[in-house]
Amino acid sequence: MIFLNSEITWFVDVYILLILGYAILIMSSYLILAYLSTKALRSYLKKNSFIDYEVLLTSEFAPKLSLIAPAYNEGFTIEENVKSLLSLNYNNYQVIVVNDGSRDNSMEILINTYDLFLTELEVDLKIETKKVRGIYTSRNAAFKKLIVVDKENGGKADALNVGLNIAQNPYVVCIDVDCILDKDSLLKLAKPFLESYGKRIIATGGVVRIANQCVIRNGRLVEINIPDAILPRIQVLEYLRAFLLGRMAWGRLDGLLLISGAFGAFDKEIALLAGGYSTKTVGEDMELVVRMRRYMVENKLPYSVSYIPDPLCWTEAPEDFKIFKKQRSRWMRGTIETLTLHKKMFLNPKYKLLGMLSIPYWTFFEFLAPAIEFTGLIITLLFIFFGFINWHFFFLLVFFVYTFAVFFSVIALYSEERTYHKYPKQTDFLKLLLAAFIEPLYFHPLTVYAALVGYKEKIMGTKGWGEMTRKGFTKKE
Amino acid sequence: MKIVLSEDNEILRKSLSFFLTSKGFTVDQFSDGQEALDAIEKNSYDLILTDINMPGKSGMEITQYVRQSIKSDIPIIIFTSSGVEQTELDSFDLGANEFIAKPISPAVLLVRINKLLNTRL
Amino acid sequence: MVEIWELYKNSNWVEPFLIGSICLFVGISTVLYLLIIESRNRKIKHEKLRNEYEQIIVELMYSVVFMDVPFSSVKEEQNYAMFLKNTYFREVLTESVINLHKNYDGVYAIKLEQFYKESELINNSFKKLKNYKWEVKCKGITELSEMNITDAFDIIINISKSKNKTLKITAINACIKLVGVKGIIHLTEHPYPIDDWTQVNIINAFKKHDIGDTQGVEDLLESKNTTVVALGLKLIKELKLTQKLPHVKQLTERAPNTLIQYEAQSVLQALNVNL
Repeated sequence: MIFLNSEITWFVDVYILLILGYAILIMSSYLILAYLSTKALRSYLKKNSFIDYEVLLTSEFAPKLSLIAPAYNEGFTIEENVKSLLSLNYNNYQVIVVNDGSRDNSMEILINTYDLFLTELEVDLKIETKKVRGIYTSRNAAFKKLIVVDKENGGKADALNVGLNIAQNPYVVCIDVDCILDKDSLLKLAKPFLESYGKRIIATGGVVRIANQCVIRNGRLVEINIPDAILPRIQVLEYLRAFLLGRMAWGRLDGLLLISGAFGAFDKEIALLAGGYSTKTVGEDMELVVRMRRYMVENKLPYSVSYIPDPLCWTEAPEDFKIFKKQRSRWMRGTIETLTLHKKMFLNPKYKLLGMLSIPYWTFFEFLAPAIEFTGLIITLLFIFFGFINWHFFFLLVFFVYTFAVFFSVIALYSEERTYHKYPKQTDFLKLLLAAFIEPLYFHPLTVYAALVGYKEKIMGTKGWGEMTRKGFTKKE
Repeated sequence: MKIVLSEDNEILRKSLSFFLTSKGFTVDQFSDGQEALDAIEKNSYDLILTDINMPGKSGMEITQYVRQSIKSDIPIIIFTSSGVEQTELDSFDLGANEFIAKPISPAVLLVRINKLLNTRL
Repeated sequence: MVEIWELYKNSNWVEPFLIGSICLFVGISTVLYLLIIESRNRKIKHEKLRNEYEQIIVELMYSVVFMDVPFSSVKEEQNYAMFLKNTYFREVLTESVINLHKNYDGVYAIKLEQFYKESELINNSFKKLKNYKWEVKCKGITELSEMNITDAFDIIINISKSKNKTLKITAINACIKLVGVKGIIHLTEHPYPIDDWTQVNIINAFKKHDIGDTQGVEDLLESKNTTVVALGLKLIKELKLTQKLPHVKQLTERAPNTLIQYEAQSVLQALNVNL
């Protein structure tokens, strides 16, 4: 390495050691999580082959569920989505569709398709929400599970809170109305609530997989494909890494901070006692889980959050860069908001694993990582410009990070191969492999950029979701 | 006599098919309800044997389609396994002729098949 | 500690470390990639073999179950003898026999059980019970219980005392299928709590196998383990065992805690309404 004089040398040396230290720390933690995840996953799958979920179908002790599906401007697909929700494999559940003041004809479609009429249901306002305009049920006995709520627009969290107020069963399942659910997903989501003794299970979450270019018929997944377009394809890889190599480990340690907003079940009583969803944040799914956990710890109640690695929910990933950017900057704002709201837990031993491990991990490796990466890159380029570091070293560093990224993705592909094996076609595997090579060069910079936009938006006080136009699932017949 | 056998349990389907073929029937077997339905539309069969839970179209959907869309009165026998009474009553409503609860006795199945076919002739 | 920090500060290790790591990542990635390819090929090969075997097995089953061909003559036939020596073939054969046994009843099921014993597939199942891996034990238990091998009861009931939940549920379900209520009487002495999921499975096993003789369920109510008492109450409620109501009434009078008392009373209410 060529350096100019000794002080600058020392400074540059320290800098390099710091960024290297940070990189090694992140990489080791990823590898440790991947190891724990794989072990837990294999153990789970072995157990799964001997479990008969169907016993919940005929048992009167099966947890009673209330599905809450907030809907905003989903008119294009709402009929089919609701139909698939009504035909899930489970006894004793209700479906509450909350129309969050849609500006399209969603309500008309629902009223016509399901023969709805206005009821006099009394709503106990346990949580304050925007005004409820009407509650509808169906005249048709085949749809007696369905309740449709029409309300003023208030955002997803507000709509979910209306659902919490109305739900008649002790457990609520919060879903995105356009998610494709596996037929047995309710059975799998409900089982953990029966399993613990002594500890109260307050929430269970599942795995979300990407449905782009998959074939959907009658609201059920019929054929699984890997998208050809590069942006959604890389997201498939990203979700595989996150769910197979990350979440399972956190679930095992019971340090899971996030239950996907697309599909999760909650103990209604605790959710209400903790205050329901917060309308002040765009990351309402993560924030509620953290707050519910906090409630249990602060009240000294033994509890656990369960994680189910089976792919139960399939959702559409953004294919357009603009929408992708909006989604990711929203995620970043949500992370910032949740971490700020609960900063009391940071490195606080009172909150045990959550405070000492989960929250710091999210702070340094999820929240701050894009900032550190970006500033690191700028400083390094400056150093090269001033001749403190030569290009040779820079490329070595870049190559180091690149090969690790590809390596980690290959681990994810290997893990998927040995577990769920949902992508059996030879071409599918090659598509994902190619995605692994392209991702660090194309996708990762996009995520960092979107995260930076998220920082900016947070500082400038932007709120809300922005328009998320749905493409609708491409039906390949 | 041509029979359509729609059952997604591989071994069971092949075994029943073998058994029925040995008794003189011609059997077209399918593991997917939609494929079975496509075949029913294209060819003429004397009897339909279907499991109630199938990938693609379920046994009930097949029955409904055959009775209401094709408007055929081909005899239909449905295998049920969940022990849920409601589905059995519903299958009669849709127009199935018989249902047989699993585990089945192939000899009894044969008797029922022959009875249905004889009443038609 | 100080030494490690000194070493860390002296940044001569950085370049070789980076180069070494890169080689390591590339190397392991290649190995994993090859393993993935190998695993996929193996699965494809197994699929093909399985299809081939299934055809043969279907014919074999036909002759044994429907044509009453005794196993002794099957064994003589050259083809079958060769296949029967292949482990994978025996595995597919066992699966097929169990599968058919679940779906056929009456004399056909009996013939399958006979075949299972004569062909010595039963020995493979017993061997699995001795394996140290719990998932292999589970497989053995499900095989033996499906084929109604009551001789295995004693071994299985021992296994059911294990702490491994999945193994315990599988073993208890098997005991219930094989001998009915006697399969769970020992739970009265069970030291650990039995969670709701296990209880639901046990109740379901009773319903599935249509256990008629419920003599002994009331003993569960005497247990010191409150979860076992709860299980007894749930069984009486779901199976509508009105003849046990006097025992339930006794329980309400000496209930160990309020939860049990409440549950016992709700059982009384539920079943009295039905009378």
